Amino acid sequence: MSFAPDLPTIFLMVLAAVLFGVAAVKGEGRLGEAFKATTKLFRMVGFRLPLALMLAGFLSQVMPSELVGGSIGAETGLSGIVIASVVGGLVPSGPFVSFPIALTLFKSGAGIPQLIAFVSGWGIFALHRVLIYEWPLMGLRFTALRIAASGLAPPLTGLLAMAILEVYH
Amino acid sequence: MADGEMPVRKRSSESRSLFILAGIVGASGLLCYALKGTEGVVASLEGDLALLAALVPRMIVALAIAGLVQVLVPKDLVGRWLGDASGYRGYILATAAGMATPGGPMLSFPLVLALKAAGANTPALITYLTSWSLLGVHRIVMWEIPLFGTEFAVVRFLVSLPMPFMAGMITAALIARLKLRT
Repeated sequence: MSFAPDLPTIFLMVLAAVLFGVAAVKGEGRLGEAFKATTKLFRMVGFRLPLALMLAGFLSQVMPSELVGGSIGAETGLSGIVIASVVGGLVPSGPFVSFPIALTLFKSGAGIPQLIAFVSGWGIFALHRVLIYEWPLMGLRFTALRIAASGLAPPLTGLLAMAILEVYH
Repeated sequence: MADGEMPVRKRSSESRSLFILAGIVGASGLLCYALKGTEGVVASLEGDLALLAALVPRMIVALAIAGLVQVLVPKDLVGRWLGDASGYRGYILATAAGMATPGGPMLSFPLVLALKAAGANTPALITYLTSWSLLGVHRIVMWEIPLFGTEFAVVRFLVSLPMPFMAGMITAALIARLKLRT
């Protein structure tokens, strides 16, 4: 995989260039200060990123990904919702992987509330995203706080969906 | 002595975090070796190198933005909209921004880092990330509606809508309760 700039990267590059220009025009040592701030962030991320990548790589080697199947059908209720929340969080990489997996689960009998919990779990816990981006950039305390604060969201969305569908149908 | 205390403590908490990470990496490496042997470990490390090569240029750009924003954006401006005094308005703004941010973690996390540097508080940032990960409009339009249909998407959107607010409020409560410095 070589570095081919995609849209978000190009957007970031343009943003960086614009900010650089503004700092240069405003002057008064702003560029130097910005450089110092960036270097400080670098020292922090430089150690964390390689370690986090190694962890993500090892985990994706040992993860049993074909394990779920019919264990999250509509009749499984809360336990299926909890399983789906956790399994969703273990799905590596982006929506181009998670949504097709969700579709496969749907076709093999997963319930709607369980699928909603699965999609939420992927959004909230997203182990790969946590390891590659959140921990290196934001630190352990921020990451732990975020997971503590939103950890109940995936099962809650599943339960709320179950309630809505029961009333609605 | 009192002057030297803060940086020392900060450094030790940072290196403790690194030691924890290194320990987990070691354990997962052993597990990988036990289950998949040398081949599994080598394949995994090769994958890491490729990913690192792809990430480094992006990280450089992202960190440069965070550094520049820190210097350029007035702290009281971001603080007023997303800081400690922003209250419910901050949660609503953070939720709306999360819905509207396109793309993956490559875009959203550098933004969070830059906003944090510019004075946004942790509850607002966690509200933003929760909204982005559950309610991102681009993902609903590109993936969810085509694959699962409008009804599924509407139900999921409705049940997810309270979650960013909940996450932000729990974060604020945790910070106050545990007296965390953030």
